[in-house]
Amino acid sequence: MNPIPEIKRFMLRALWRLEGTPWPDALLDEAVRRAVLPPPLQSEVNQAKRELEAAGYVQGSRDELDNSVTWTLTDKGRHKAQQIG
Amino acid sequence: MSEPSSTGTKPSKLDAHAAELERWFETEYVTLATAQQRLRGRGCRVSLTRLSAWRRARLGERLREQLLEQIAAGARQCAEVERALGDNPRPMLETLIKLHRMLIMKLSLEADTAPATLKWVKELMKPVLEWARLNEQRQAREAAGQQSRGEAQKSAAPSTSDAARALRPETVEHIERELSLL
Repeated sequence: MNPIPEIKRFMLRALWRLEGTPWPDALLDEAVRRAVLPPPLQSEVNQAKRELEAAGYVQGSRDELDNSVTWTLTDKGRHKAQQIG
Repeated sequence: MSEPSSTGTKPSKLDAHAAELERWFETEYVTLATAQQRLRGRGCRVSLTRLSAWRRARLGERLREQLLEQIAAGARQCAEVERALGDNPRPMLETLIKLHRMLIMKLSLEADTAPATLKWVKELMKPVLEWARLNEQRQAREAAGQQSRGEAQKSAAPSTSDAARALRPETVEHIERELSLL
């Protein structure tokens, strides 16, 4: 079974619960691995993030200081996350 | 992403019996076969495979919901810390290290914390140390500039100057060593 739709749904729900707090990329990956069974491959997690970003649901931001990436929901993402709970 | 369901699973005829099924599985610890028989008695025919998949999906969703609750609780704590720090001047490195230690200790006490989680918490401190290094370099540059203009002699003794009070590479290494102890 293709786990990507489930990963995407979980990511939206998780970012929604953060109420705007930017979430470090590595912690998002870790949460997905714990939430989706069987744990998905990193490539699947990355693809889910890419698809969500391309569709305008999430926004990744890179910190110039340490090159780390954090994720937040866009307005469109907030709307969708609200729908799926 | 058009489906509104949070689990992503299609509605099942078993959903109508969800409360009973949960009670059977979690309170009475019945087997799938027993649950199947009981359902048949209620006019619901379902295969063992389907029943097993439904149960697995329910358990998965409960796990996700638990995780989401933890995430929400973490976000609330972060907001609280930020509010508390916002009332005071910018936190010094020492304050951040204390907060960081507290976080590690708290996570260490939670039995289900994966070792990877502690690793990420330690990683969180790296940007702070990097900032401290950059700050030290900036202060050193400023001090050198002052010296060249002949103003350094008028400033305080070297031991109390900004450059001397900034973190030296050895100090940063020492802090990193301490943080790795846990």
